[in-house]
Amino acid sequence: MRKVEWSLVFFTLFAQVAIGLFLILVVYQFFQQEGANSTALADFRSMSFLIIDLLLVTAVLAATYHLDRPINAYLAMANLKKSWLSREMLLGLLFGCILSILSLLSWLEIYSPLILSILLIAGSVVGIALLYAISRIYMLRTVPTWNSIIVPFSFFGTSILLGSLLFGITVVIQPPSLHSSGDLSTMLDQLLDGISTGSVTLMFIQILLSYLILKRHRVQTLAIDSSFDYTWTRYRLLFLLRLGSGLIGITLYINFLYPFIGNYQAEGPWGLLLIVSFLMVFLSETCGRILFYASYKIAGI
Amino acid sequence: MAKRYGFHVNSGSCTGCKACQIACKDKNQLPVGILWRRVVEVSGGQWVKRGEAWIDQTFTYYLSVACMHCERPICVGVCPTRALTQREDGIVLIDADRCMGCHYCEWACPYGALQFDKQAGVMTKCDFCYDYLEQGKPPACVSACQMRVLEFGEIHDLRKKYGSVIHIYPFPDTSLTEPSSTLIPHKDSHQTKSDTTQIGNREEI
Repeated sequence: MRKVEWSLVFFTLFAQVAIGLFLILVVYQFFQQEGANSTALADFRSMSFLIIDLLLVTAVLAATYHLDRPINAYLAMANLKKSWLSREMLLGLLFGCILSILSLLSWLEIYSPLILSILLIAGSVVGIALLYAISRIYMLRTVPTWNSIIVPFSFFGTSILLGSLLFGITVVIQPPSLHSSGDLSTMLDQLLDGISTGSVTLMFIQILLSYLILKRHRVQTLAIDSSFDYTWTRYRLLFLLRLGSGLIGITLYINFLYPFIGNYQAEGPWGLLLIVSFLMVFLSETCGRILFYASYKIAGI
Repeated sequence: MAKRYGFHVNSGSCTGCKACQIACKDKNQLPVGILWRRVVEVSGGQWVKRGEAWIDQTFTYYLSVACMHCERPICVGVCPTRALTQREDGIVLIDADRCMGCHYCEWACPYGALQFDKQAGVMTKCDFCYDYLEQGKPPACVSACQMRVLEFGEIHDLRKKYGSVIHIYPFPDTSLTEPSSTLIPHKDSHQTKSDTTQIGNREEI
């Protein structure tokens, strides 16, 4: 695999997990509107924004590393009319700006429910558009293996799966004040329960989509080296690693999360164990993304 | 309507001598590893037993390939910095000063026309020797072809003379980018539906 693809593996994954965490946070925030002014919730938001900021900075660094002449990156929005890459840059910049304002407001402890709501809604719209733009970059008419609706589904799946799992970790490692905030903890129980059930389903869907992307590799009918058998033989270990780490990771995650739900005083290194199981799922998604880039096949020379 | 240039390749007469490739490399002083015009060697088929005799049904043909200066150039559409542009005469050019080296055009081009210059950190491509055209001279590759396999001219004239380019291996469906090129296919190009067909010099091109 070339340098350009490795850096893009990490750019896409970090950007998607950041957007996913943001979207889950927004869902939580709006279901929990009446508690929006509580200090516990504000602390939780601040910590989440900090994690999202760190993820975005890592994504930007990976994206910049993939450029061979980053000094010209300031021109990247010159073709908004036609290029999805230009649109991705614009949306990424907007998302970064919204996050920066949200982080700044949190840091300055300015809690205006109206401003917060506007920024969270704007961030969600831009975040979803950014996810779509990232996937459209790959849907080239000259690359039949990528030119499929599977790509946006897969990218959205990664975002929601990793974002929600990271949200669970963020909740668990919070100070006890959040967990003992009455309504807040009831809402958290429901959300974490939903994440547990939903993430298993999403994990299976993600693995199925990975398989379908590999299967599309046989679109090119003539050259021997593009057959599914060849791809499968070459990448089956990676696919099995994706399958194994994904299923084991998600099982462990739910196992470590359940004792915590409804019992925020549960003793044990739950945070650490959740992080380890999250990393296994992240490894699975990384394998899936490597398989995605490996499935590139141009309809031509 | 502005005049639009295109290339014509007579694959049936191409011997694979690569004079076009070398002339291009020489004229444009291309570094090692970069070939704006390449000669693709396509081979396939097998020996077939009929009775007691073995019949040779193998084949090889050559295709001289450069940027097709397509009518719907996907590279121009995907380039975020607008480093790639198309002139009124159809020639697709790259402005190295605007390229940020994202490789997106390289991914998208089905003819491998975009070639990355590692030392300069930018993409490069065939410019149809537009400086020669301005002087009334043919492109370097056309001049160098001793078999007269390569021609250039106004694409509508070439299409009238040779017909539209057809879909032969390893070229993609022409509807994808509408290449400004015409082609006389080699007589064996119909055999490429065989599983044994492959590009024989992938490492070189």
